[in-house]
Amino acid sequence: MLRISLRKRRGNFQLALDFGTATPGVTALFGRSGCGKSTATHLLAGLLTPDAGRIEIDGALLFDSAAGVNVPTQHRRIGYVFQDSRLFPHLDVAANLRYGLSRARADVGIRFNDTVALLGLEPLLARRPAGLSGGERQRVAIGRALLSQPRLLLLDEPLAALDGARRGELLPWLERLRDELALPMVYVSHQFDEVLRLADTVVLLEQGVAVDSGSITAMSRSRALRAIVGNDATGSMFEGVVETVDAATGLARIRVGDDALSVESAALQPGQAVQVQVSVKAVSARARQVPPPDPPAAAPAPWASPPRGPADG
Amino acid sequence: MSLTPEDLQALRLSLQIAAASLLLDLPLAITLAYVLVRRRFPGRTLLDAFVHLPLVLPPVLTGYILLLLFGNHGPLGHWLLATFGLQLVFTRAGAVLAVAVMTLPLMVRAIRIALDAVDTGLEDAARTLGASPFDRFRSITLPLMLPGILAGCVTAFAAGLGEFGAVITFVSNIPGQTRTLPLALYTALQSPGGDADAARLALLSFTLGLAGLLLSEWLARRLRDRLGNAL
Repeated sequence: MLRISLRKRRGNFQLALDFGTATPGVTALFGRSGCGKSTATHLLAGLLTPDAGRIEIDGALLFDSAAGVNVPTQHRRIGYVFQDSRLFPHLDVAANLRYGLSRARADVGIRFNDTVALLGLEPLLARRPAGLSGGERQRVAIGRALLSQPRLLLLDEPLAALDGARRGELLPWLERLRDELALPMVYVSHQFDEVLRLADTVVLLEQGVAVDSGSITAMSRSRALRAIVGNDATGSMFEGVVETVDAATGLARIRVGDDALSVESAALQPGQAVQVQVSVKAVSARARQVPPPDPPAAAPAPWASPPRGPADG
Repeated sequence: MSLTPEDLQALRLSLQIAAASLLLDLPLAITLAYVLVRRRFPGRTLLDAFVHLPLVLPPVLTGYILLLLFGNHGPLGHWLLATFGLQLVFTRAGAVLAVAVMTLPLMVRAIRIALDAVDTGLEDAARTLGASPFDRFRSITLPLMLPGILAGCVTAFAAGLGEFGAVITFVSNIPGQTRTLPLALYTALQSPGGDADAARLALLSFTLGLAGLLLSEWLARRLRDRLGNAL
């Protein structure tokens, strides 16, 4: 369980953040620029000290103003992935990755070789950060944070500095991280499509206040959220179960209630519980002519989210 | 035109004194630069001005102030003599102190600029990765400052070789003790018929300075390559 209650005043800006989410799982802190996301991550990591509040992650108390607890950043074990990577320019990729590993104060079982394999870092190990692309840098930064054996991974707009194509390249790595590691993650973003793809829980921040929060399915109906992202970016979320996967076409058939959808995704396995997101833009409605002809086959929907454990549903 | 034993003595002495003052200055200059850049405290501006004073005072005056403070009857000189038996006036040790005081501002300036250029975001990143304050300084800040520290050292060393006014005022002009290259050159110029001596010493100083510049350029380039053109 991740329980956060924070108060911080900076000039005219007042941050008041209260939420609790289940762990592991991805909690998205979502809001417009200037809503207090960066302040929140700095408070969480201990780079800023809250005026008051409490931070607890899986039973570990990191900050409690009432009890006078304030664990310093270097002891918090919060793996922080910064928007601008912040790789150490004088160290090669391998040394960057080992920086946190050699200083780790615990062992959560994240191994060097596994991390290198998970993030595809092998060809980069001997290189200097200056020679890496933006996406490569972020993958190294994620690996570096993971190897510090964190109790929580904090991703602060990790895609914001990348162009559209690079964002598309990095997103699958993040999904892989979520699916293969049982590590609580807080994902900060102002891009709702990222949130939709990655998050289990969404906390909506507006002018320093958490105005709404809930599961991604529930939040797709949130009025406050819709007011920010507009109808275009929202959609309908369905819970479903994979019935069959056709290896020849790569189409998976997902049962949603009484109906079934065909989805283009080879990674799915029969019997898996999944969430299906259908973007508003991808659906059109037409008044029925009587009598209706044969119902058209459901169009392939490439926006199904990748497999999740049944517990996530 | 070959060098005389006296020339070699002056050369050796200059190198020794400049090197010793460099070692004395280095930890102090890094500490001062760090404090001046990163800390905010009352009196910071005053400290800043104080460190840079030797740059703007006539070197003879700096030498005179040293004489007042570190002379055998000066408050600090008396204490050093009584406690450690260390006499500074008219000694090599005194020359080291004079050169160190004169070159300290040059080093502090170079190191400050280097420290200013270090992104504190990298130190924050190191913090989240479990590095304690000293560890961060040692593993991140210091290596990134290295080119600036090196530049400061080369400048200070070169300036130290040539320091004249403060040295001659504080520790006088004693062959084998405090007669460094510039003092030997000055002595030769003051002696009747010393033109040949002066020419040799001038050429020696010139060669030394040029070699120093070339060396620093080469070192800086190597360091830049090692840092992967990151700076």
